[in-house]
Amino acid sequence: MTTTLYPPATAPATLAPPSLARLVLVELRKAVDTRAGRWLLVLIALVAVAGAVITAVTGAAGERNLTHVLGDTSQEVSILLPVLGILLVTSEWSQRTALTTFTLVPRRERVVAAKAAAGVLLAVAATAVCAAVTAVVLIAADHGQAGLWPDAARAIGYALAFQVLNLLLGVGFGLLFRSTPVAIVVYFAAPTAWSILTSTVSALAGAGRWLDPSTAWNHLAGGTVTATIGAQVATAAAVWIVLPMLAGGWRVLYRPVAA
Amino acid sequence: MIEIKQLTRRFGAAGISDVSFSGRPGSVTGFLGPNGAGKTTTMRLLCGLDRPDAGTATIDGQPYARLPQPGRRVGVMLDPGAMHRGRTGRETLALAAAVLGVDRSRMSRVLDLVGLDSAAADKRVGQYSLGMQQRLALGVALLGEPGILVLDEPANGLDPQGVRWIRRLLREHADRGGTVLLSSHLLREVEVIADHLVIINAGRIVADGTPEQLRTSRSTLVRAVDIAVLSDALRAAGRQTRMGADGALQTDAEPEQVGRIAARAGAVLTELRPQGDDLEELFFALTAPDRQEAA
Repeated sequence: MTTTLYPPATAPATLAPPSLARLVLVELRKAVDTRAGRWLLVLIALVAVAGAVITAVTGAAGERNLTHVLGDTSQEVSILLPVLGILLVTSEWSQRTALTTFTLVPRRERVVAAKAAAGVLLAVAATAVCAAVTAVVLIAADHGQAGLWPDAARAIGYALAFQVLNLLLGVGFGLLFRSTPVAIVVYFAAPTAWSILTSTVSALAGAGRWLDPSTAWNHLAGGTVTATIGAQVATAAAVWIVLPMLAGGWRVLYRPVAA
Repeated sequence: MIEIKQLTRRFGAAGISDVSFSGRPGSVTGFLGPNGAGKTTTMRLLCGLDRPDAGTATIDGQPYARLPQPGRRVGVMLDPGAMHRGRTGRETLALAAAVLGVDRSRMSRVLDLVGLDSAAADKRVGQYSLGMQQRLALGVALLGEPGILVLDEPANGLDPQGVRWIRRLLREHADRGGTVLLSSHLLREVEVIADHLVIINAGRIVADGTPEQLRTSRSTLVRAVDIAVLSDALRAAGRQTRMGADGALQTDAEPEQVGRIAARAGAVLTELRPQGDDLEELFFALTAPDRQEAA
């Protein structure tokens, strides 16, 4: 048996764990390094442009302002953002890369945190794109009336909160189901089913306002937030984001990685 | 140093029980057993992908999951198919390199080492042959220059040159002081490079030692017209017996003793020979599906 020292001298001595920032960059890279991921981002950008143009052109004169156009554009983009969040998580299982991911980073909570953080950053990017597109469209279609930018900062802030919630909803659903088709189908079907239920069963109408994410969060996109609406946003977020994240996250953290 | 102590993980009737062995620096440990014997389960537990019901598995004294940067200490290849089919080989390596903090020059050296040229590296994994996937997965395992390698069926899908290449790679790794644990269901694949063989069957370790030790472990193979009579007689004489699936009986008694006991019991022998110098026969005897003691 040899007594040669190992690892070889060329190997760096540093054995620090990868920083969370590095893991977030890796997760962002995973979101864009496949054709499916890139096309989803292109599609989101196209929806943003189309949404802004249509709202700015067809909207009433009084609605041609940043708050209104950005609100509508955000709502259109928000249909696809949860899919982005879902794929951030489920691609690890549908492509079985979770095995490699968790072998390289056995502290799985760091991977889950990195995915959630990458989701928030993607929501920030989506909001920035929506705001930029909206601004360009408004300037291009400027009919000379005043009041294009009332409360611009607040409108962008609400739009950002709205998109972060939508993306995290996707991450939560992804963690809960760990299957791309199941998570996407449930994401598209469940809120609608809930909306239909609450609108047909009058006893549930009150609960609907508090627990239906589209009803509650759309107020954010619309730019009107009262204390009650804020509480409704938070309740819906607790049910549709926090609960799936806790249940799905627990499973990802403590159950065997699928073989 | 890989140390596995009394590792147990049950899945209903399947799983592993009380598995203990170690992999030492400077040596290749061959982890042998038929499909479904528990090799992958053991390796998954070693790498923190599953939790044991009992027992421990450690890397240099620490559980894998506690290693701050495990990819720099342990190169793991459990399932070459577990790669994103839409990513190129180069991108697959680059993601691992980013987590490990290794630079581009190491990436290109690894691609050279595993024999993937630039054109192959730029193809999507979905277009790879099984052998290319195997090479890429091995590249991911080697990327962090780990001292310890844990490889599940690394020769699967490789052509004969590929098998020779991986043998030399692993042998050299061990000769430089590295620790190699590789599993296989084929004895031939590992006996030429392994310094140490661990044989598992139905979730339990059935043999553990150097190939030489296993070869000289004495046993006798015997066939008789009425094998049950002979088996009872041997057990009555305090000998251990093991019934093979093919009707042959394995016992720890010397051939001469078996002959005497058979004569006293009136059992007619049809075959009697010492066993152990042939590793393959031992392997099959130990891992026969129906290897429980005869009634």
